[in-house]
Amino acid sequence: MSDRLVLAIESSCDETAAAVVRGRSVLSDVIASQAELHDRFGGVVPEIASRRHLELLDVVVRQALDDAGVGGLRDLDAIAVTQGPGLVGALLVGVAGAKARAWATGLPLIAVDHLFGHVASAMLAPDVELEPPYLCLLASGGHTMLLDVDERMRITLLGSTRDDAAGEAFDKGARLLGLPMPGGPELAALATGGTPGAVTFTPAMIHHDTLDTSFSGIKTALAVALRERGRRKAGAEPSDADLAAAFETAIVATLAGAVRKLVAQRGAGSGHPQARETLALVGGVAANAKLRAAVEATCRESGMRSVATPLRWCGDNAAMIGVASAWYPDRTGSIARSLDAYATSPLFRDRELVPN
Amino acid sequence: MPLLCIDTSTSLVVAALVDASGAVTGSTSSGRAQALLELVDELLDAAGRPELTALGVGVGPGGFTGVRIGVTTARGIAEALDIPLHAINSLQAIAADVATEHPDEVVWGAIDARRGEYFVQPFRAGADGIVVALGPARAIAVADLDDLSGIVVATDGMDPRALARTALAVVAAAEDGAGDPLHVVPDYVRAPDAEPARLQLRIDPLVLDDLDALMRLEERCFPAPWSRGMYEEELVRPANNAVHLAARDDAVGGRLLGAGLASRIGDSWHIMNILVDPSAQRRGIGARLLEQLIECSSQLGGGDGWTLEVRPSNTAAIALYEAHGFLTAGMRPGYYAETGEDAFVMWRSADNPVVPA
Ligand SMILES: Nc1ncnc2c1ncn2[C@@H]1O[C@H](COP(=O)(O)OP(=O)(O)OP(=O)(O)O)[C@@H](O)[C@H]1O
Ligand SMILES: [Mg+2]
Repeated sequence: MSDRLVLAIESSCDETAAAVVRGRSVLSDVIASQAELHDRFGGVVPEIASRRHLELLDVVVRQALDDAGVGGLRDLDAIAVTQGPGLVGALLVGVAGAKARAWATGLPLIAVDHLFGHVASAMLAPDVELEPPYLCLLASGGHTMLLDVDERMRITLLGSTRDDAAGEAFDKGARLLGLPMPGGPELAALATGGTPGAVTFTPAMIHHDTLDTSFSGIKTALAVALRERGRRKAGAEPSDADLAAAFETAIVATLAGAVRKLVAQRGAGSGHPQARETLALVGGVAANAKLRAAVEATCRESGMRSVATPLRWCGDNAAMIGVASAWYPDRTGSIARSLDAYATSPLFRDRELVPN
Repeated sequence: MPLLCIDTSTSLVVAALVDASGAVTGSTSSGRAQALLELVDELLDAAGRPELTALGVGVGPGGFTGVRIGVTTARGIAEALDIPLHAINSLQAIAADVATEHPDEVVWGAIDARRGEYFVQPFRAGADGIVVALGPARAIAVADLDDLSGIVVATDGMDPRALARTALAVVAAAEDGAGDPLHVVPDYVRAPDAEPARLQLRIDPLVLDDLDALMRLEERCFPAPWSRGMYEEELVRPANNAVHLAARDDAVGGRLLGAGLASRIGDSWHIMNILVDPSAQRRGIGARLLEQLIECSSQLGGGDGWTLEVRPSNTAAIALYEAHGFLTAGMRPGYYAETGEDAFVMWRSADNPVVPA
């Protein structure tokens, strides 16, 4: 892997982040979250997020350089930035800040896809030295994808959600249960107090030959259960914790089921011409302990190695953008100066993402 | 001297360079703000790439995204080159030339604010040629442009030379040590278009089942939260001597947004705690809880009245209590153990009529 010293910047949603990495070693990693700012609006408000990114970006970058002991920008080899997908107004703050620094110092600029960043984040797992090729489950706030990653980090989309993303489902479930944002971790915490099996929600049945997933049925099941139980009263059954546990279990089962199918089709011993031996679990929802355990168990059954992104780098961060940048070409000159952000990933549009 | 100025607050991208001799070159482009650096690069190439010593950037008002690209770019360059950055009022740059040509007349700078509005601000140049703002920038309806008294300049973009002159005036007036890029922020004038999610507030009893949510709320509200045990103890007090209320938002599954606890101690009621989720503050939830606490405790027999302790630094809470008839009755030195802070003791007597705020 490249051993260049890279400053990476990420501002695609509601985290302003900067990191300094060398290859896969993270020398500094600063994340300023705006989650609380958006809570009162019931979701991320793009204009508020963009304004906050502007206030935070330079402070976060200064901090990342300081923490890494980098004297000045000129000691770096390149500057990487998330180009998309995400909120364009928010992305443009990171992109403008990165372009300005690259232009002023003459450093090359590297434009990285955010989803590619999540996929590469598994390379941050310690003691594993993960290298492509591998299969990947990306489960985040905006995406739920089953992917193939080849030797050159070219990514192919094999299956995705037909409705909500897994993280979005967690967030909506959490709202139904009256939990604050971000809902995933709150719901998982509530679920630990529930009795497993007290309530069950059936995971979505999707036709057996597709790798697509669906979560809206589970969300509806929770809404119905809550309506049937009626307004919260002391001691009402089933408890919120039981419902949270059932909800989490159904989502995890859906994701683990998709992984099982993926591994059967493309994993070790599948006989597929491009069979892979490793599966990576990445994205914000990969922080979920039950999902990590279920994916690990599923892979172990089929003789696959599984690698999950370390908890710190599951959600949005700049370290993963820095690691991912090693696979992308440098941009200089006019292309770097006029770089724009984009809202939708090519992975979604073309079912394929080639880092170029 | 080489001073680079940029502005992206209108649909015209503007760059100007003041070289060491004070000569100004400039250039504009009708392309997107995303290509701002292309324009700047060409301008600097044409000038033989002088080493920049200062920057100026138009901070708007204007298109939010455009202004942000300009300001973020300028801050990034200033950070990278370690040179000062100065904020330029984009409306002033637009009005400057006309104002100087018509000394002592009111000249309005105007920038299309979309949605049928313009950002406007009045300026006047004195005999010395110095342009000063006569009032703040604001957004007005397009139809009201005609009613402004004075000359209105509503060009799209500004002459690079006017941008440079305005920047030079800012630099000349700047104090020593000014120019920290982190202090240069957009002047949006307008608040972001965002409505706080609508609340469906319900006030009802706070029960033991709420403990988990209550602890989360407490942690979000206070650096030194009450322990779970303390709340548990409060919640199991006999119902005729205690009032425990929850504020829930039925728009989001009855999420606990606030809580209020009062206990009868001797002949008076003690307001033990009122807490409101940070994301829902300044929306009247604290007041609703306080009013209901007083109402419910009155029904149980109000006794002599109500009392509470509050941090002197918590001015918002003090204002709330004063608006509900509480008066400061004394001070408890060092009351808050964690910080050693004093507490104000506030008191509302049972026969004290509430003065409406
Ligand atoms: N422990 C957890 N259990 C379940 N979900 C979780 C957990 N931790 C985080 N999440 C969920 O992860 C999501 C955030 O992930 P991430 O930051 O990767 O998404 P995003 O950046 O918003 O979306 P995308 O990367 O698709 O653009 C949220 O929906 C959050 O609720
Ligand atoms: Mg993400």
